[in-house]
Amino acid sequence: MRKDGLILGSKSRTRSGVKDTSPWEWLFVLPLLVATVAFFVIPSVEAIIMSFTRWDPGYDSPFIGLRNYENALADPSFRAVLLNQLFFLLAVPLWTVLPLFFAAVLRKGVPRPGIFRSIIFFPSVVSAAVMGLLFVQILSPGGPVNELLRAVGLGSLATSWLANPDTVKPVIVVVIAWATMGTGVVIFSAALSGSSQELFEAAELDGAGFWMQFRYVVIPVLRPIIEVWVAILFITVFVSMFPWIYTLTKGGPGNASATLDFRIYESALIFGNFGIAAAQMVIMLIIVVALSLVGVVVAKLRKRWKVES
Amino acid sequence: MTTIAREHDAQKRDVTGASASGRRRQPLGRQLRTWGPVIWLWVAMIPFLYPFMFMIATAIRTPEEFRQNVVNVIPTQVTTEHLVNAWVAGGLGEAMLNSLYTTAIGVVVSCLLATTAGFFFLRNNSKPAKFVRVAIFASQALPAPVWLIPLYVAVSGWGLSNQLWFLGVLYGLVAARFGAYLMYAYYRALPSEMFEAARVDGASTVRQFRSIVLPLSLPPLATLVALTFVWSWGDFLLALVFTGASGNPTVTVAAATLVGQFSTGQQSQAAALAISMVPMLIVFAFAQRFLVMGALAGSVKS
Repeated sequence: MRKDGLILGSKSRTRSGVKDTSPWEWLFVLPLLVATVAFFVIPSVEAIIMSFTRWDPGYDSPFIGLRNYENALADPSFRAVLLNQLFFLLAVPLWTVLPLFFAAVLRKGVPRPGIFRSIIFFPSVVSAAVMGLLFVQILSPGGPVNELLRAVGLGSLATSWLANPDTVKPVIVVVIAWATMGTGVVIFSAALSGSSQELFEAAELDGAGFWMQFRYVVIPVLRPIIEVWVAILFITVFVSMFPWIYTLTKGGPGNASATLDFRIYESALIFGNFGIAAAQMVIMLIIVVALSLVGVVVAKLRKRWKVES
Repeated sequence: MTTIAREHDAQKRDVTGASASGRRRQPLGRQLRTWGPVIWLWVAMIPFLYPFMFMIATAIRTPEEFRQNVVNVIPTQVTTEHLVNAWVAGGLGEAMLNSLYTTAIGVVVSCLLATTAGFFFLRNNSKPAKFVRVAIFASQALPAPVWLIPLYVAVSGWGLSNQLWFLGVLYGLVAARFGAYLMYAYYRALPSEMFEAARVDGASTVRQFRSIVLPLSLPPLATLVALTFVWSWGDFLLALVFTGASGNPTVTVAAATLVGQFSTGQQSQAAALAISMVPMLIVFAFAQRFLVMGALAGSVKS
């Protein structure tokens, strides 16, 4: 690894830019810049503007103030969606601890950990939609999970997992834990092998067992990367549940598993309520921005606290 | 037969013995302690392997056997009926081509835009360039469900909404913003004397890009290609919105709409899922290293 300071030291130009750049070089970045603005920024701004109108693509969209927001928030099914989101947020610790645990197990004492890492990593490479469709079959009333339960005499537990309002959310949590495990293990394993081994050796000399090491070495050492992982998951819960929900349950039964991104899709492209969909998009945008700001503030506060103590 | 088997066994013992010769003399308790976690780990792998085994078994076994036996994943009566069903009647063959087409466009677009933009960010550190760099990177925080529908409405007006190449370009753009950052981080670590020397020799900016930067970009480009491929191939939301109603879907959308078309719907769908995974499996087999690097870059960047 090259030290950044070395380059900066030898070359002040890396910091201040090359002296002889000419304006036409902006052509290098122009395609990406224009496309980013046209494809992502302008549509997002449009979503904000249209949320204040009775948006009807292809026709007049009269301004109606906050009516869309009132309608969206007054809808009890939308409140159910927000409660579902809360439920999935509560699963973030599970989605974090499981890959941490596997990374810690694979760190040492297991021959050929690469095989296990590959097996765990593969599902996070495969499309979420494809995995969702596969799990519909596995969890179906006559599927292998229920048949297995019946075979071992636990037939009373068998249920249609994805159509039962009591089980649907926990089952989705488990499926997503399964699917995100690979990325988590890869990231945490890399961080573990990159961190100083002396701490682990010292802990071992002191006779700390696996759980002691996990609690007092692994978690503190990986703390920065765990925070990034948690931040990614927090956003994911609000923003990229769509393929899972669409393939597993279509939001059902009732609204028991609908998420915000799924509801936006439904409002606009199934029910044709583009105005309400726009209001829901803005709510999503506010949540994502708020979450990011909380992350930044927490990081700043922690830094200050560290400097002071 | 038995002698061969025994010889084979002996060989195997020898091979494993080479690495564990020290261990063999250890007491049983110690052995259990070293092998315990391994056995335990293989048990923990069952949930990760079983769904894929179930998928393959469902895709290739006869309907009769499937009806009798759902849990067991070792098929005895094999048929290609479901694979053919999915491929031909389910339109999966066409959908695979559509996905290949969009994914290829996505990969090319993301590589082109990421390398050029990354190079620009390296050369130009002026205030406006810095702002553009940060803004493009930050635009990734805009969630797809927010920009997707307004974009879809807008491009429907121009007749682009059911064009596969447009979906491909969109994939490329989604990946290029991350890619530009990946490239920039990589270029920054290159020795700047190289560019200095090229400049002294009178190489133009374009020449520097083509003859120095591009050939050196292969490692991060491999990561970007692998990531873009996996993202585009696996995408569902954009593909559903843009191709769901066009009758010309990508593979994930086709697989999702396949069920219920046939009497053996579930098995045909399992076949479709298995087929759609083949390219993923190939990428995984040959480029796992780059996918891992991509996952790492994605988590460290912020």
